[in-house]
Amino acid sequence: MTEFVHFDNVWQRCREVVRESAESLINAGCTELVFIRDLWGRVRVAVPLDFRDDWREPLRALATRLNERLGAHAYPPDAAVLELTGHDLRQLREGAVSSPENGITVVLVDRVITGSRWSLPPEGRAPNRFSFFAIKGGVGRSTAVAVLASHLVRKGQRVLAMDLDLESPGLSSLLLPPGEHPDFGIVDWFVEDAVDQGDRVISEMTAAPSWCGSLKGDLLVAPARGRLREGYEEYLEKLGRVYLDLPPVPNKRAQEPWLIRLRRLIEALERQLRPDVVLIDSRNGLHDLAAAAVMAVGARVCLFALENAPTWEAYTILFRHWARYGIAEKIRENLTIVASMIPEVGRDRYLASFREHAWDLFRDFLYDEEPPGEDRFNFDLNDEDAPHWPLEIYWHRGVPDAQTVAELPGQTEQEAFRPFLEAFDELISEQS
Amino acid sequence: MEDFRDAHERHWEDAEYLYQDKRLGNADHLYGLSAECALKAILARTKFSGAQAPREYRIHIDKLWDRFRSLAGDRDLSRYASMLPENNAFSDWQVAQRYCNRTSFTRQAVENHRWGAERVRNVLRVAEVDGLFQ
Repeated sequence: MTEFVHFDNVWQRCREVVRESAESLINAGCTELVFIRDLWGRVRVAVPLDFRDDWREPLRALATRLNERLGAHAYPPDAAVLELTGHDLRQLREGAVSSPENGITVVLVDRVITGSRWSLPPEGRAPNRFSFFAIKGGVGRSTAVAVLASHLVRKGQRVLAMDLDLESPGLSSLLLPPGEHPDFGIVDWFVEDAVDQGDRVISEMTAAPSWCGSLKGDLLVAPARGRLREGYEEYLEKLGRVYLDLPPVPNKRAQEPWLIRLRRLIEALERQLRPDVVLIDSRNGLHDLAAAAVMAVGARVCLFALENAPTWEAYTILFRHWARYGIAEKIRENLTIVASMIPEVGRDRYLASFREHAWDLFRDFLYDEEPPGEDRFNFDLNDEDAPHWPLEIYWHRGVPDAQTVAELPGQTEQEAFRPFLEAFDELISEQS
Repeated sequence: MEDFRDAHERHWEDAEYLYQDKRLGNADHLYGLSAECALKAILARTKFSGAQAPREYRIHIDKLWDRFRSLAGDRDLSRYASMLPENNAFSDWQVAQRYCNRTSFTRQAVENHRWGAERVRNVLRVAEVDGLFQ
């Protein structure tokens, strides 16, 4: 039996091979190697198209070594070197992990079908946008967004609430009573925009719920889908096209990835509706739609969590990834953690344990290593201004009974959400 | 003005014509060009923002095949890259072989290249059905 080399061994072994081959590569003038782990998990080394002749021999030796060490993740030595232009190589370096190995810069590039947006720095912040994300579902995220929207409207804000949980929409039904959905939803915009007529639906894809009529502010809801009616039922057919990158138009525009299209949609809605606050309900888990809401729309992100091991383990995957890709410093100021569904009994103990785990998570992956102090992004466990210090939402027996947020009794709302809403009031006043 | 789809089609048609007539040298050359044009037709609809292929794509099928598979990522090209066999069917093909003597083209090598060109042609068919070319 040959040795089982699995996916997780691959990059380490590439680094080892470079360390072993470094001398001959440096002698030939090669100081950087770009490794590409393709969609199949196999590795090639990419070099410039016009690489020098004296690289040939060390590269051949490197390719042979890779073939010996990477097992099924290697290409045969004669197919292991990919010659690329400087332009290709520059593009590959973006979003890659680099490290020096015995004088050679090793760039490790992963090509993936989904999830690449988690590895890139977040978009610059738009101060009035907030995203709501949970690494695991069933934590009351959409309900909290709906309650927050209604709270802000009562305080006189003009709020745009977007249901970006396209694969399991819920926010719009919590906000819009039956029959009040607009004609179109977010998925409709994506399919119509693909044929250059997104503007035909943009004015018909938001609705103001009737229960907001007497309130001080305005609520505009952009649901995932439009009102169900005869001749309008092809949701999955539209959903399956949301992730389409629009092709380039020669001499007019470059390829437009779907994430950029999503941002264009948000900007178009903002231009049309002039909201004070935009609330974006994300899909949960490590999905592309969630990556969009967390990384690509320029929002402050509320991370919903329960105090249990599966939640912290799942967040650890994400936080570790951010740290590994060097984007901790860019993402950490965007994050606010929310302790959701805090139980009625043993609250203090529950919250103390929650804070410990949230602190561990932030400290291990996102905070500076130096102790807290001036100009340091590091916080003590009990620092109430720290990102790990959670906004609090309490479990309440009355919350699941409400079909829409309008049915939620004021007292229930107060008992379950008051600290969360007050903290948000502060957040919003800080932003503005 | 580049029209990679039409170029693919005519190179393929002419390659087949020559292959049936046992004129292997030029058939081989055209199978390579036809495969190159099919992949560039897909790239042109997904990656090129100018009227002409950018410099990084001005390579022939012996290099383009691996590049297409290795750089595919996210949803747009993954679908098509996954249809290309792993082994580059044109790794022993070179555009400079057009200067070679006719006796240097073996039937086996030409059949391999014909097989590769057909695989690439099938990828292009799928892209057409997807509506990539409008």
